[in-house]
Amino acid sequence: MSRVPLRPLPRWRREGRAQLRFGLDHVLAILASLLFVYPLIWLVSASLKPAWQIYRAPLVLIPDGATFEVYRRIFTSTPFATYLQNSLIYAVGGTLLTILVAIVAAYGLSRHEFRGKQTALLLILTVQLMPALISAIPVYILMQRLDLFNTQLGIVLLYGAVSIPFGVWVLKGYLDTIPKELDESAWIDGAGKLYTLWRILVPVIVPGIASLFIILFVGKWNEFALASILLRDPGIFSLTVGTYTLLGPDESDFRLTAAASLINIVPILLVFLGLQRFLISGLTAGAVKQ
Amino acid sequence: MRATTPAVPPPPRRRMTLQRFVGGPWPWLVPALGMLALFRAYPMLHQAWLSLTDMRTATIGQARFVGLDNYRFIFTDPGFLGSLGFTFMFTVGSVGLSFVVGFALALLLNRPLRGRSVYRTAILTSWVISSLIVGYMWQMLLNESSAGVVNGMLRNLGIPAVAWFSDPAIARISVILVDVWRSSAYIMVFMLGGLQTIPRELVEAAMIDGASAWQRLRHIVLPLLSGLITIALIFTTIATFNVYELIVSLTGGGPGRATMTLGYQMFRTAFGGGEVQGLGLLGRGAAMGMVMFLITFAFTILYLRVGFYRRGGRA
Repeated sequence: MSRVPLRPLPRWRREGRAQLRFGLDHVLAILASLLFVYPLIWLVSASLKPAWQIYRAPLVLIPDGATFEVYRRIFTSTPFATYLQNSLIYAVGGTLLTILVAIVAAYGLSRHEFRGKQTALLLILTVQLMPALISAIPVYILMQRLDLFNTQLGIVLLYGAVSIPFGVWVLKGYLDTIPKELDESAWIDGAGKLYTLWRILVPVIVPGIASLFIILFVGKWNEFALASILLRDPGIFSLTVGTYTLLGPDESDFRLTAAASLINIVPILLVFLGLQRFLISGLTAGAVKQ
Repeated sequence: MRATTPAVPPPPRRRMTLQRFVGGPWPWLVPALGMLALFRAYPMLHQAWLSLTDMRTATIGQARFVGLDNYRFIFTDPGFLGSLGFTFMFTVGSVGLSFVVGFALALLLNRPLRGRSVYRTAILTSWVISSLIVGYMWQMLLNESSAGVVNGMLRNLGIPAVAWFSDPAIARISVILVDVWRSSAYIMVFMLGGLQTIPRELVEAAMIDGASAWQRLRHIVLPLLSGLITIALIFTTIATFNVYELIVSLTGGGPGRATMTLGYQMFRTAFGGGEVQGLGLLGRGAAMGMVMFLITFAFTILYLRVGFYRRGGRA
């Protein structure tokens, strides 16, 4: 760091500035929040407006006679309720599968020193950085050959597999912070390794597991690319695939698009708001923690 | 002079017996490595082979070897080269702007602000919305018909309407701006995590010495966070470079081919409606996938050099 000559400000200027800045901070923060929240508020409004109001008064947020007609139309004329259920299966199933496999692997990596450990870690990190989207075509062929094409099991297995590297990485970070003496005291009491992991270590890293859960759940709930090529039967469509099927590349009915979008957003937003306190540490786990 | 020995020396090589295998780390790693091998590693390798064949969705398993034909085709196809160019433009623009916005938000929320977590939550909501839906949402907000909200606001301010999607040059900027809206919250959280590791006393001491906000940022905060920033940059670059879902719902690659990205091009080639009739060009799509793979791999190597080796290979 290079030294710079610094000239102190007189005291009165510092304090006056501080107060001005304080007010300014709030104004800026509110404006920034609005930039991110306004589109959502507008979505709610557009989905409830009567049709004429969409084109005549796009800026008016209060609907002139709110109507749930589009929602009724979506849920009665399309299997959106089934899509919601399917997305829940894929997101929860895939997330739990990842976490289960990753906890076991993270234990192996955290509690053992062995030849090839650095190579294994390097490989896991490399795979983690490669978006699954890149190999969509070979995955499409693989799933056909495994008879997992167009099946719910196939999506759960695939969703479970793709995030294993991230899961291992995060959970190993948490396990590494637990002193090994804790394991050893359990062994002295005659506990096996699996018992130690399950009953002693896992309870300690519950916050880590929770943050991993929400990050993975959000990613899988929102996934579209792979699901769109692997699912053919509308009965097992995920919500994103069903939404694309309903709206296509350029649906012009704003009320329909807004309502369908909100049906995608609201469940995940509730999960996010409920588990938010676990989220922040997990998002930065890859870089800040270590 | 000898280098210092690592704290835990690697165990000496011994003959592997079944008992030693079961007691060692490998049984713990087998499920993870097995699933990764099947669903991640094998497809990546298979793609290299696929890109050398003329496989279509109708001829899975019985494709002809065509050498480098697919590569020769895509690298002489102006459409593909155009999408390669736009993908780079999109990546640089989106990552650069997201960083500026995300970092500015992080600095703002790092100040002693009442209700800070409320602001943070509000901004972070953009992160939980899927790219597909973000695309639909902004396609409506930026719509050029009388229902478009942004143009409506501009009109109230006396500014003429903007051709957000019908003008090719503006459409490219629109796509970048929407992606910035989507990804800056993530960078904000990332940077906020970094900012909170900076000791308060350090910044306060500089303040007492009379350092201006800009000087504190330039000479204290940025140097301390440079490692984290580099890692986040590469991480975001990889994700941004492989954009697909946002394009599907926002522009469909248009107008013309102005906003086609590599990912979108690959999906269109392989699954653009022709796959049901067996006409999807899997081989040619795989060649595009290989191009994406190689570029992403280059970024990955960069990440590993910065993020893995610089910390002495320890995670």
